[in-house]
Amino acid sequence: MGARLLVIMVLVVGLLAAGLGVPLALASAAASQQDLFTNRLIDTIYYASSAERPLTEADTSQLEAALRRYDEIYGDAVLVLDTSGDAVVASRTPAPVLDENGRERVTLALARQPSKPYPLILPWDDRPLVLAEPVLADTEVRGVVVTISSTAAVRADELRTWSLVAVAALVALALGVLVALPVVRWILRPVRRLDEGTGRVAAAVLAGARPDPVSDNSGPPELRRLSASFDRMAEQVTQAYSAQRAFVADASHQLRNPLTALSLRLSNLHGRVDADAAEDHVAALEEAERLSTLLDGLLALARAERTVPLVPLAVDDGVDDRLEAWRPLAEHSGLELVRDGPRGLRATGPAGAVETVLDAVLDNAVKFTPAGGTVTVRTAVRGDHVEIAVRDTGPGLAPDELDRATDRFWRSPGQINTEGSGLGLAIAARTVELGGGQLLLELPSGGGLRVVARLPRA
Amino acid sequence: MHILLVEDDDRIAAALRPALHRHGMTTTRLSHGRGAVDALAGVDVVLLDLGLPDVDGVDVCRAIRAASEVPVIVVSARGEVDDRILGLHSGADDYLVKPYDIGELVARVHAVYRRRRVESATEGVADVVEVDGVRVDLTRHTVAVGDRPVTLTRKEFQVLALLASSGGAVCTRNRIVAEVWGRTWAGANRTLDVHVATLRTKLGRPELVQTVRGVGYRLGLPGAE
Repeated sequence: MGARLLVIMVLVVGLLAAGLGVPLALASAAASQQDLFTNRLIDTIYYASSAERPLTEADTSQLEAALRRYDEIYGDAVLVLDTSGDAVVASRTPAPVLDENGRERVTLALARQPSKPYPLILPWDDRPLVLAEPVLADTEVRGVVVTISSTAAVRADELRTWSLVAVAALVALALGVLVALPVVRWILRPVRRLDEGTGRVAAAVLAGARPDPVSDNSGPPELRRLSASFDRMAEQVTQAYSAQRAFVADASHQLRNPLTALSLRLSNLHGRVDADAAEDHVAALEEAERLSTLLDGLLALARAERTVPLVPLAVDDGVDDRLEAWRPLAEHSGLELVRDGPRGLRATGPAGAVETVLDAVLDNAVKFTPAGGTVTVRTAVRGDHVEIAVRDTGPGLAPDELDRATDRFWRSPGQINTEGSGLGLAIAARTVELGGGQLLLELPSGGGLRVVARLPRA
Repeated sequence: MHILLVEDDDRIAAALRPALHRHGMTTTRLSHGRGAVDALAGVDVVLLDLGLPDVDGVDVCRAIRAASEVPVIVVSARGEVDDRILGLHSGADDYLVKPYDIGELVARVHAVYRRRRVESATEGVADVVEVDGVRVDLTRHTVAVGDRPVTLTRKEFQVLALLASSGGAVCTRNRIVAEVWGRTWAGANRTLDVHVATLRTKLGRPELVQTVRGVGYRLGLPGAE
């Protein structure tokens, strides 16, 4: 937009310079040409009047001498022709030959027409200025005086003026750009700040922090108002977002009290329910437990979405710790748990990010991979990111489920009754995103599911 | 044993008091944090809720600790590590997150009470627990069934030791996981089940570690229930 604004400004200045400069240059050229034309016309008329007698008396020696002197001083040839167009006197020998324009002018003069003015002589037009005036004796045409003048001086003058005008136009353009640049910058400053601001606001909202204001009270009033509105909107979005997060956290805390009372009441019934109802009593206790697990998940999600300082993470520590924790369960389920890839990698993210992600992903892998399968945790470096990939040999997901699998409470249609809250992958994804990374779900060739947590390298 | 219950939620108090009474305890209830320090006379254990309407429970805890040596168990809906650390640093003897199981609560009440008494009297808790021919040596970390020593992994031993030292009271899954593994995670409960299953196999006493459905595990004492 800046470049375009600048082009428009330059175009305006350029048009202005051309609009003023071109007529100025043309007028100046026409004026000097007019001078030459008038001067030569006066000379021609003078010689036409002084050629009357020599022509009538057929004594041209004096006239010829005058013409030769004139030619020597001014460099302009003068011819005296008789009525049939033949040269009687010439200021130089051999007598210059008239071109078509000259002959036409002689014809006009013989018909006693006044000399036609010339159109503007352009610098590259090197034809001479030819003027012809009739020699009259008592209103009768006796001959024609022709002056042939070089236009070199006029054309050189014209070129000089034109270059001056062009230089002036260029200077005006340069000045225009110099003036336009700060103006364009001033106009665009709020736009640039808005542009940078959107990115910052998105990051701040995600991190739950207060975004820096975009408006700095500079730029045109309309854009200033736009910046102010943008700031208000960012503030509201941030507030709404943190209110939502706070609500989740508060709600899961508040729900614990009635849940505690419920669990206690259920416990108080222990040993006092009929044998018939014992099954229901235990199931009710289990439901309370399940609800408690769900609240833990909600809290973990609220925690995963709130702002946290990013710290350097020793990937190995997290991976080894979680593999050790999950190994008994994996082996009990008949799965092989394999660690692969380079060691000693360091990433940046929220504290405990590696553990949180692996817990969520390994939970699914161990739950859904049939006995005899393999779960591989592979670390890798890709560009400026560290990847922690968990690949299982389970049934995987349908391709259209990959995107939705990280939604809150999403569960694969066939797994609704499997233990779990459906929050694991959502928590993992938010945790990685908080660290400026990404959680990717892929269907590798050979089946199964591959979940890749990508975190910036430390 | 007399319990001072500092809890603002009437429903929890109403549910909790009969349960404590059934376990042979008497209770006094305060619905405010203010005045807790003045009510300590004759109290053996304080159960303190952190989310109180008038003062922050953490401050109440500090005040109680400054005034008395009475054991305090913080009971809170706030279960994050930072909250636990804050609670324990403010002088609490134990920290329990809602919702909790009454069996676990009672076990912990007994534990903190016993610990205080033992500290004030002499050293020495039972180092060896013997149940149904299974000897668990808590200091040497060894287990024997009859004369036959059994090799357990660290975690398996910790689970068994926790159950054994609870003396037949129910240990909730949450408590076992928190104390043995130090943190809870998505597969924690299932991992605990795996450890209990291997324990039963290795000890050759399937009834020794009993499942209390919906709650947790306990050591099946012969003759109990």
